[in-house]
Amino acid sequence: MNDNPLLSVNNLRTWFELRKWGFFHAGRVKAVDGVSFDVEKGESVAIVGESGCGKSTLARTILQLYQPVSGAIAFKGENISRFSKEKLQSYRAKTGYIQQDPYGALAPFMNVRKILEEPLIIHGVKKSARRRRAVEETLYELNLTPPEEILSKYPHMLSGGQQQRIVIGRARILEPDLIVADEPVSMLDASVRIEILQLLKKVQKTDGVGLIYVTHDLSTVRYFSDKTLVMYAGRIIEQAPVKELISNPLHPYTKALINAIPDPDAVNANSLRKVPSGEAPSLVSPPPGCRFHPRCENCIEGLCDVKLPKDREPISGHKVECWLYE
Amino acid sequence: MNKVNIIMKNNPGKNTKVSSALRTHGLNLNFQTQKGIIRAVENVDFELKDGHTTVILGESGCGKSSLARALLRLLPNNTANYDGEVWLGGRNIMEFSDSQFRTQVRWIKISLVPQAAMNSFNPVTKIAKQIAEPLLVHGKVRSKKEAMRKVSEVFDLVGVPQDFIGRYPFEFSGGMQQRAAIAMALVADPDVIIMDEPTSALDLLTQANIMNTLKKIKWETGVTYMLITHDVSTSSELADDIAVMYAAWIVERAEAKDFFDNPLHPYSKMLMDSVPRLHADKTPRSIPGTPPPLYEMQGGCRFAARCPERHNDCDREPPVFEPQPGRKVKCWLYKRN
Amino acid sequence: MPDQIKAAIQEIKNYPSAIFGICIILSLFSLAVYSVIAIPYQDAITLWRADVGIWDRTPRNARPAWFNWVPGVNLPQNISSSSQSPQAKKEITDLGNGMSRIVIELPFRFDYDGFPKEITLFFDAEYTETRPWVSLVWHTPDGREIDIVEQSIREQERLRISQMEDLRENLFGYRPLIGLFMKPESEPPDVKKGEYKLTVDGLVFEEDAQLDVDIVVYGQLYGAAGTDHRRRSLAVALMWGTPIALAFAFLAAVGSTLTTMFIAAVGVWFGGIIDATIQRITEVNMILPALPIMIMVGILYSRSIWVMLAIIIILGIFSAGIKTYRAVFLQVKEAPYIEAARAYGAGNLRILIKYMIPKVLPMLVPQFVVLIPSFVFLEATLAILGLGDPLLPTWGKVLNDAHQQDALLSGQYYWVLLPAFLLITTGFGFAMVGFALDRIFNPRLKSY
Repeated sequence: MNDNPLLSVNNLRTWFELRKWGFFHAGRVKAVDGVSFDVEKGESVAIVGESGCGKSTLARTILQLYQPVSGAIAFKGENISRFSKEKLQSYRAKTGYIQQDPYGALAPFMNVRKILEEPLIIHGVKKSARRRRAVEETLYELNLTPPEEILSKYPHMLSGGQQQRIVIGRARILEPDLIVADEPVSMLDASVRIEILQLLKKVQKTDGVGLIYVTHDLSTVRYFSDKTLVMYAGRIIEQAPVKELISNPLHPYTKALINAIPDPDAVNANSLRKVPSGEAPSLVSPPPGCRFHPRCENCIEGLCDVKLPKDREPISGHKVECWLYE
Repeated sequence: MNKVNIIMKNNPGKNTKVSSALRTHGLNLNFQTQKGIIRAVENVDFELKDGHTTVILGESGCGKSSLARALLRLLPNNTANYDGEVWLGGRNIMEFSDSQFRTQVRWIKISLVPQAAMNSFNPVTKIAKQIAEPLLVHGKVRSKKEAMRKVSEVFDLVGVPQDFIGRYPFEFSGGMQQRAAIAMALVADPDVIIMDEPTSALDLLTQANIMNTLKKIKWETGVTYMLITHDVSTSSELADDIAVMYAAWIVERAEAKDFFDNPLHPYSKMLMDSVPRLHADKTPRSIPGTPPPLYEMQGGCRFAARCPERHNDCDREPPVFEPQPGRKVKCWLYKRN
Repeated sequence: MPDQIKAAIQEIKNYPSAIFGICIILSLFSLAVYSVIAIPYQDAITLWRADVGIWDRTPRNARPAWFNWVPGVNLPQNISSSSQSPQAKKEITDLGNGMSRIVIELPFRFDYDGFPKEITLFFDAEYTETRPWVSLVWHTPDGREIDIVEQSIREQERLRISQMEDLRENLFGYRPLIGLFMKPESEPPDVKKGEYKLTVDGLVFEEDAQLDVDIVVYGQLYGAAGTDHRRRSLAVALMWGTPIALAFAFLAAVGSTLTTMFIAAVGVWFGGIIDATIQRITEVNMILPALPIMIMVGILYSRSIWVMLAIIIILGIFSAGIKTYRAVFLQVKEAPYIEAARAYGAGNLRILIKYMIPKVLPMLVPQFVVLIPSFVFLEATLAILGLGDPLLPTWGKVLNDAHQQDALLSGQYYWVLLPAFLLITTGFGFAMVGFALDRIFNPRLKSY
C-alpha cells in the first residue's frame, strides 16, 4: 500500500452529452479525453492550460463532482469509482476544493463561523466546543485575526483576499490529504495573488498535502509547483518539473505559450510577438491526429493530422505527446 | 526571444517632441452611495501624448475605470461631483454641454473598448451593423453602403475576416468579439481610444495575438491609446508612458522604460515586485494590507498605511514632485531639499 | 439570515410609504384580534346567520351612525325604551277578582330632523287563558294625545305601529310613521322635536298575569357600519371579515409560495425525471383556469372557505411561480458555493434546505407580502360571484349582498364603500410594504 501514489489518474475520460431539443444525441464534449498522471503524497502539481482545455473538468472529476465515462482514479491505491457511499463521504473529507471566485464560493447568507463549521458538522464533529477550536485554529493559521471579529462577518464584508483565505481554510479544516485549487487567484488583484499562493504553498508544506494547482498562468506556476502538466484540448501534452518545462519546453504548444507571456519590460512594445494564430479547437469535434496540428508550425503532414501521437519521455522525467520526439 | 521585428513606419514614441492628445487638470469624479461619498477620481492631472500609449496601472477599486468614465462622461445616476478640466484639441471639453459632448466628442474624438466586450454587443443585431451605427448616427458617412465599406476596412485592420460581416455576435468567439469591439472603437477615426482591460478575459495566446494587432494599428494609424489595466506584464506590450493609480490618485507618471527599470513611488516598487516573472528567476513578493476603501479616506498619503518607507511627512497629502525630468511622483520621499 | 432581516428592518425605516403600510397592516391585525376576542366565533356565525329574534330591534338598511357627524345632518338614531327601564313608569292597581290594571308610560326624546323608519312594540305578557287587554295612547311633546289602538295581546305580541294605516285619519292623512312625529299642519311634514310618550293602559284578568312592553323607534342610522336588508349590523361582518381575510390570504400565500419554492428547488436539484414531472404538471396546471375550477367546486361540492383555500393552494403549488423559482434556482444550483458544498460532502437535503432555499428566500419575502392582498381580493371575488362561505361573514359576502340588493341604486353607498375601503386599504398596506421590501431585498431595483 505504501508505494501507491496519493492519487493516480489513468486514461481518464470525462465527456458530456450534448442534446438537441433535450432528447436527441447531438455530440459529446470531450472535455477530458484520455488523461493519465500521478500525484505523490505531499507533492504540488500544476495543471496549466487555456480556458476550455478541460482542466477544470479534470479537477472536478478528481473531486467526484463529475463522473468519468471511462478510466480510473485511484486514491491511495483504491479505485474511487467503486467506493461505497460511506467511503465516498470519507474521500470527500480527505479532499479539499478551492475555487476561482472566492465570493461565489462562500454562501452569502452564512457568516464565517458557519461557513467553516459546515464541513465539520457534515463529517460528524458533534461537539460545538471542538468545532469552535478547529475554526479558531484555522483562522490563526490563515492570519485572519482577531477571530472573534472575523467569525461573525459575512462574505461581502471581507476583501477578496480574505474571502479566498476563508475558502482555503474551509478546504483544509478537515485535514485533507489532497487539495485541488482551480484557478485560486485569477480573480484576485495582482498584489494579493502572491500572498494567497504563498499561503497555499505554506499550507501544502506544513500539512504535507498533495496539491493540484489548476491555472492558465504559467508565470505563477514557476514559484509554487513541483511538477507541471500542460493540457491542450482535453489531453495532457507535456509534463515535466516546472523549471525544466520553462527552460526547455518540448511541445510546440508549450513553446508558444511560454513565448506569449511577457515579463514587464519596455522593449516589449517595440516588436511583435510570435504567436500561433487561430483558436483552440472545439472539444465536440477535435481535429484528428494531434489536436494542436492546425496551429502548429512544425506540423508533419500525413502524420500529425492523422494519428494521435504517443506519450514519449525523451528526457528523463520530461514527458511529451508529440510526433517530433518519436 | 522569438520576436519578429517589423519596420516601424510611424512610431512617434521615438520622436523627441510630442504634443498632447488629451490633458486633464484637477479632474474629480465622486459618487454618492449609502456608505458615503466615494471619491473615485481625485484631482487627477495627466496627459496622453499624441500617438503614444499611456497605461493606467492600478488594482481593482483604485478608480481607474471611473477615470475612463470621467473622460467619456459616462456618468452613473449617483454622480455627486464631476469637475476639473479636460483639454482635447485645444478646447476644454468639460465646458461642453451634454449634447455637444455627445455629438462632438464621444466616439468621434474619444472612443472606448469596454471591459468584457463579449457582453457589450446586442445579441440580435449583426455585429457589423452595430459597428456602423456610430458612423450613421454622427453623419460621418453619406450612405449605409459607405458605412459598411468603412466597417470592412476596420475589420481588415483588426484582423476580423471579411466573411464575419454578416454574422451575429454569438457566431463570434471571445477573441473575435474583442477584435470587433476594437473595430467599433476605431471606426469613427477617433483621436483617443480608451481600452478598459481589453484582454484580461481572454486566453493567453489570443491575448498575445490581440496585443500584436493593437501594436500594428498603433504603428499604422498613429492613434493614441489609453490602456487601463491591472496586468503589469501585458501592459508592457504597448506602453510608452505609465501612470500608476492608487486610491483615486495618480501616484506616479513616467515613461515606460524608466518605470519598468526603476519605479520611484514605494507603491510602484512593490507593485513591480509582486509581478510573477516567467523568464527571470525572481520570487515575487506580495504587498501587505489592502487599499483603503474609497469612501472612508483620511487625510495624508493614502498609501502610508502599507508603505515601508513611511515617515512623519506622510500625515499630509504629498504634492507631485518631479525628481527627474519627465517623471512625476506623488510622494514625500522626493521632496527637494 | 437574521443579520439580513435585522438590516432590512433598519432599512425599512427609510421608506415612509412602508411605515405607513406597516401601520395599516398593524391596525388591520389589531382589528382582527379585537374582533375574534369581542365576538367569539360561534356568536359571529349565529349573528350572521340572522336567527329569528336576533336582529328584531335593528332597523333595516340603516346608514352608519357616524352619518350624523356631517354638519347639518341629524337623522334619527335607533331609540328603544322598555317598561323595565328606570325611566319608564309602571303602575299596577289591583281591581279584585284577580283583575289588575297595569299602566305603563314609556317616555323618549326625539330630537332629530328626520322621521324614523319603523315603530314597533314588543309585548311580553304572561297569562294562562285570558289575554290581557291594552289600549295605547301616543303623547306628543305639544300635549296632543292620539289613541292608537285597543286590543287584546298574545304572549309575544308585536304591534307594528308604523303599519297601522287606519291611524291616518287622526294624523292629518299621513302614514303613522310621519303623522305621529310631525308638527301639526306643517307642509311638507316637519318633525316636532321633544319628549314623546306612549302610555299603555293594560288590563290583565288573571292572578299571576304579567305585562311588559318595549318600544323601538327604528332610526335611519345604526351602529358603526349600518345595517343590511336583513337588519344585520354590518359592523359584525366587517370586523369578522378582517381575521378571515387575513388568515385566508396568509395561508394561501404560504401554501402557494413556500411549497412552490420548495418543489421548484427539488426539481432543479434532482433534475431528470423529477424535474420533468414537476414541469409537466405545472404546465398542465397553468392551462387550467383557476377561477372556473373554483366556481365548479363551489357549485357542485362545497362553498366552504377552507375547501376553497385548499383548492387555491393545490392549484397554486404548481403555478407559474414554479417557473420563476426554477429559473432562479437553476442559477443558484450553478453557484460555486454549492459545488463546494458537494465537494465537502453535503447531502441533497442539506444542500436544498441550507444552501439553496436561503439564497432565494429574500426574493420570496416581498413577493409573499404582495401576494397576500391578491388572495384577499380572490376571496372577495369568489364571494361576489356567490361562492362565498355559507356561514362566515366576509367582506366579499357583504359586497355580494349589496350587489344583490342593488344598494348603489337605492343610495346605500355605505354598504359597498365600507367593505371596498377595507379591501383597498388591505391591498394598499401590503403593497406598500411589499414594494419597499422588494427594494431592500433586491438591491438591483434601488436607484440612488
